[in-house]
Amino acid sequence: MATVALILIIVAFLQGGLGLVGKGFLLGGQKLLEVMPLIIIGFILAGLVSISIPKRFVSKWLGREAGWKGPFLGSLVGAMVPGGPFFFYPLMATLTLAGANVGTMISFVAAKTLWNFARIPLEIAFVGTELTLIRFIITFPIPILAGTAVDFFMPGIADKIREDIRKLQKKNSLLKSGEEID
Amino acid sequence: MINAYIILSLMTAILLILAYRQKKHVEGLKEAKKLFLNVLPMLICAFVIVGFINLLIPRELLQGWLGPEAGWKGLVIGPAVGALVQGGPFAFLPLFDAVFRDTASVGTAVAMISAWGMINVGHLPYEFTFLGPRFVALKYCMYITIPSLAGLIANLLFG
Repeated sequence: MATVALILIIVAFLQGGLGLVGKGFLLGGQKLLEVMPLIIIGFILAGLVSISIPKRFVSKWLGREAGWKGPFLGSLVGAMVPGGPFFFYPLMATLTLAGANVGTMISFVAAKTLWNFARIPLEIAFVGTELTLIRFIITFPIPILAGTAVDFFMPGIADKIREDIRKLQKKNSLLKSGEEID
Repeated sequence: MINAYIILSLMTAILLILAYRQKKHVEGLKEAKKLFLNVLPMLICAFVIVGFINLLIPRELLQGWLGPEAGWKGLVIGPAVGALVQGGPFAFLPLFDAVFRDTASVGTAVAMISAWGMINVGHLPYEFTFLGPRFVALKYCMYITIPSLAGLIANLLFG
């Protein structure tokens, strides 16, 4: 992102000198000020959501073999879990090792990015009610369908992915202990 | 915009009351502050980009790439742009509002927003580190065409 910003600034400088660069910053700053109150409310909301869903509850729901219900539960929890990729991918690894099916996780990650309840109000604010509604309706079946398809057509892949995760965790912990020695 | 203020404020108020009853409201606000400070550099970058894109790229050009006259090309360019934008919803959604909302057709917008979430390239390092190559292959095989398909359906139904 910083690189893209820098390139744009340089292009502006080459086209119109410092005046144009100043204008760009002014325009960006203006837009930021316009939406700042909304963004601050959004963050307060995100912070409150993130403390209101205990992790224990998530692992109780998903950290086991759930059969055909897996994709449904996975989608539902995925839509409610807050936090960015640095949080939910490790969570998915933990849940998979704890016994969750791969279909459940495929549903989880799709619902996290498509349904995401905490993001909907923000999306309505910036994208508009109509477009948000259209997007939500069209992409609604995807998490459940995709997860069910994986469990149905590739039941064997869960063990292979669990093996991958175990290897990665070993490697990561080795890297960490290496850093500590240094 | 007014609608959004009302909905967001209401939700925040309800959650704040719930958190207060559990005596966790301070923890929640601290979490919010932490999130905000983490994202702030990205946010500033995003708005610098918003400013300069508005200044440098003519509206007609964006419309030609992403608007109704772009046709099927919009369903390829839109998701590609979406998948590349980094910085989470607080950076992407305002960027969309400022740059793409008036220029993209319905289908292209649906495809772009879906791709930003589902097949974002910024997730790849996390996916490889925590879940491994097989999961990444599975996920991207399944999801790479979905945003364009969703956009196509949106164009057919609502365009």
